[in-house]
Amino acid sequence: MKLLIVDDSLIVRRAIERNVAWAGFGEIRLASNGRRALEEYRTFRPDVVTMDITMPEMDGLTAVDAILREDPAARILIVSALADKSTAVEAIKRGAQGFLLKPITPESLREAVAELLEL
Amino acid sequence: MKLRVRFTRLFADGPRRWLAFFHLPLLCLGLGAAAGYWWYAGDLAHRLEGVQRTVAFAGRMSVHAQEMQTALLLTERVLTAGVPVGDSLYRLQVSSDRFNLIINSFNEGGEVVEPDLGRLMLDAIGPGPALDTLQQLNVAWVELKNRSDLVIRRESQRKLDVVIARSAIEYSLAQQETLAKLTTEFAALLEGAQQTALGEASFRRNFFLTVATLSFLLVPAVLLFNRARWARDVAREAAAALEAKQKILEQHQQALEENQAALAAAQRETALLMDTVQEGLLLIDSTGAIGSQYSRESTAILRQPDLAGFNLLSLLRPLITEKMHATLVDYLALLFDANRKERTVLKVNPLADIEVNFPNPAGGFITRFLGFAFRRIMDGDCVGRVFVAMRDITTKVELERRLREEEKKKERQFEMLLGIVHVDPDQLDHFVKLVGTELESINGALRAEEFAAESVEVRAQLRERLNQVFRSVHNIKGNAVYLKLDYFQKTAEGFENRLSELQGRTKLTGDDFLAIVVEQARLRADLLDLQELRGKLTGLRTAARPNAAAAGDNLLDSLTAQATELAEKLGKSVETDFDPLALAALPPERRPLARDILIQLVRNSLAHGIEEPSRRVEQGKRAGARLTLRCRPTGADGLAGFTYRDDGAGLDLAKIRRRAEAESLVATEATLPDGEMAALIFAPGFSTAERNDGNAGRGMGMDIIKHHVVDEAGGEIAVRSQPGAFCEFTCLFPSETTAAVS
Amino acid sequence: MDEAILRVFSSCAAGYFARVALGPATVGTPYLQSEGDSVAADFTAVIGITGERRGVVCFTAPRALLQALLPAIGEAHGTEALCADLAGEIANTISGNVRAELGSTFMISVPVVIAAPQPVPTFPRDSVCYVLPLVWQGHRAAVWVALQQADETP
Repeated sequence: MKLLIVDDSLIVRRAIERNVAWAGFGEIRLASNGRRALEEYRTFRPDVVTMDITMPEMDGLTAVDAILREDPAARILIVSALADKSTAVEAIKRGAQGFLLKPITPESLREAVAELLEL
Repeated sequence: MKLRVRFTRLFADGPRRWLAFFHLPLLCLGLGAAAGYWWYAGDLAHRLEGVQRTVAFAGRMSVHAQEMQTALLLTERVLTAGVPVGDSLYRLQVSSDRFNLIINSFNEGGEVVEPDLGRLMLDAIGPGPALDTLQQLNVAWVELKNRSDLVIRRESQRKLDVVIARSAIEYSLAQQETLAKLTTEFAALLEGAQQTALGEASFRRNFFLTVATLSFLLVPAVLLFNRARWARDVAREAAAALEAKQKILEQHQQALEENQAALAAAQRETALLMDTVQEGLLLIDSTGAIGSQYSRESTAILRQPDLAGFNLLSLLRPLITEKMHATLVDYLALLFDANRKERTVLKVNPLADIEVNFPNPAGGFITRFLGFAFRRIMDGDCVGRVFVAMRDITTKVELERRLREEEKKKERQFEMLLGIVHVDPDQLDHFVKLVGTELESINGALRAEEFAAESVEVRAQLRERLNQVFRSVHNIKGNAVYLKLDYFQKTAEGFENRLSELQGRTKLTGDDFLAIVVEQARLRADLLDLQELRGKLTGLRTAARPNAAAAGDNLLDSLTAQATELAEKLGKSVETDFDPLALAALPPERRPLARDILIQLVRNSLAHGIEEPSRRVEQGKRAGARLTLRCRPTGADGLAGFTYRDDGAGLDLAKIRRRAEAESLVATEATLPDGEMAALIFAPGFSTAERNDGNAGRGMGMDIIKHHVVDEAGGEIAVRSQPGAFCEFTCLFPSETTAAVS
Repeated sequence: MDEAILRVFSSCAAGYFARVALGPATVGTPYLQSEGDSVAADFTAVIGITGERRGVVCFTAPRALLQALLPAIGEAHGTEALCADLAGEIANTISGNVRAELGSTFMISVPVVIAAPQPVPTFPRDSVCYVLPLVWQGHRAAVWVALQQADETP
């Protein structure tokens, strides 16, 4: 299985990468903004994507839109610090399958990814 | 009507016409001819048969003649043999009858019968060679018949003998050849004659055959021919039509090319327009999707290089607050709802000016203001598209904002200014410094760096900090009250109240101090405002008094000038005797105050004290009044100042008294010593008439002068007056300035 | 500037440490930043705020704090880059969490991290910057909040 982690923070990318060892992703790639995420998605075609929202060049919600336009079956988990309801609603409306609030703990990440994989 | 139509339609086109007028008749003709042929052919056959039979009958005559001969011979033999002759004579009779019948029939017409030839109706032979022959035959026959008949008669008479028989035989024999020949000739001639008739009939038959054949051939031939002709015509027509169409096509092509050229030109113009226009123009559909044509400025405004196919809502979303985005979504729905009147919808445009924030690559945001205008583009009854015009109105908005801010600020400052204008600038400075210091102290108290774990010490520490803050604020408030700085007073009071409230709490947490910090910020903001205003005031004052060092002289000069001016206005005459060093003993910071006081005093003198020149002369005074200013150096009491005197009429105690009574400052019956009476002019609220008239009114009243000199500065003010002679004021200040702290 | 907002910042800051770190952080008494005052620590993450309120929110912390915090999120040892990144992440998380309270008219930008001795943005003399100091495991850090109402005059 393939995983694409999108976040402008190196720390977060590494943290997520470390905490999904249990899921057994064969290949993991990282992207630091929405534009790169879209490019990576096209060539990499991951099974799961984790996506931050506040990023330079192209924010997460725009990237979600773009990715789903190309592959409506994409599975995207939003991992964001924006704790307000309307952001979460907007994300799900756009087609993301999950929303995880920062700061993330290994447990919360595990739960969210497991849920996503069941879909 | 319908029939007629149908009828005419029948002949409407060529083929039908041909059918009606040619083919059908021809066909009928052909059929008729065929019928005729059939009839005549039959007739001919019949006739032929007739002729053949006739000829056969004619030939039969010779047969019968032969038979007769045979019969006669037989008769003779029989006779010779002496046998009864009945049989042969019978045969002779028969043959004779038969021959007779035939030849008679030929002569006169009639029916002939032969056992093997059947019956036949013969016509009399007409004149002609056949008839001639027949006549000859008749001749030959008659003779034969006679002899034959003779024989038969004789037999019937039983007188037959061989001689008769032999004579008959002889004739018969002699005539046999002739008969045969004649018969044959006759037959031939008959045949020939008949043949002619036959020929006619044959001709007729042939004629009809020909006609029929022709008809039957002609019909298809003509049909085919016509068809060919029509086909050719049609082809020609088609060709002509094709050619015509081709021409039209060419024309159209040309027109098309011209149009295309025009279109291309128009497109270039449009593109040029789109490139140049300073507004962002684009079209959106009901989902917000942007059309393929848009002005270049749009890409600049939205900071997006390519817009076609993008959704305007999605593009704007990261740039505006979610509330704005939701409003935008709703408004879009309204724009596309054909049931709502366009005018109404446009009136409530929430995007006439909105704030958008582009992410700044260097961090933070780039804030811009955009103005959107919309227009519907109808498609029948529905709204097909909406036309959007965007402008970057940042500069305009920012200007407006700045303007508004400035105005608000000015208003506040003006309010503030009103509240502090009465304050001596030096005192104001002092106050500012004080507040600054206290705020620092507050801040210091709050950020004391010792963090310990939650414990009794901490709580006690927090409480101590709170008290410290309270003390500072209280000090500020007191000063504000003293200087009558209402604005500040309010703020300080509010702060103080908050603090009291917190002091009342049993448990204090770090969070509680948040309230304090906010109040502190407010206070600091007010302080900054005050400082700014203070700066402005100084500017004003120093403008009027540019050089502090030369201030004394300039002050006195300006006072002189004012006095002279005022005197002229009032029709009085005045001269000033101002000692240049009059204000030398004054502490420099008192100069402004001194000036103001002097101005007031001069005005009062001119307005009330000093008499008109004529009056003065009457009294033995010089026409021009004299205003004197002398210094009062530091005395034993440590006070220094100046003395001002005018040689006018002095204080009008009666007037003062009246005024005081009017102001209820003194009871009507009360008696006051002159000194106290005079002192009344310093009473607060003592408004003499001077206060409100144009000449002496502006500026400080005596009560305020007293307040400034005595209450605030801790100095003294004294008045001496001699009615009709002079009025003298002395103002003294302590040599050091000290802020009065209550 | 409402004290309510400051309270939210204070609680979100404390909350971050409570959830992520090995121990909670204590938030001290807040104070105003005066001129030439609060010197920035080793790393300062600046987040631009706009919308109904505009200004900046900063999280400033010394290297020691950040390096002590890294293991709590699974990083073995900290490089400069990781420390800077963590500062940014903390600022981002706190601001994002604050958004839940203040609503969606509170727009936050991507954080920019400034490492000392680079100068941090100075606030105009007449603006207000609140300092929320906090202590975690003996290290001092602070959250600076310099916000004003959109059409408030400074």
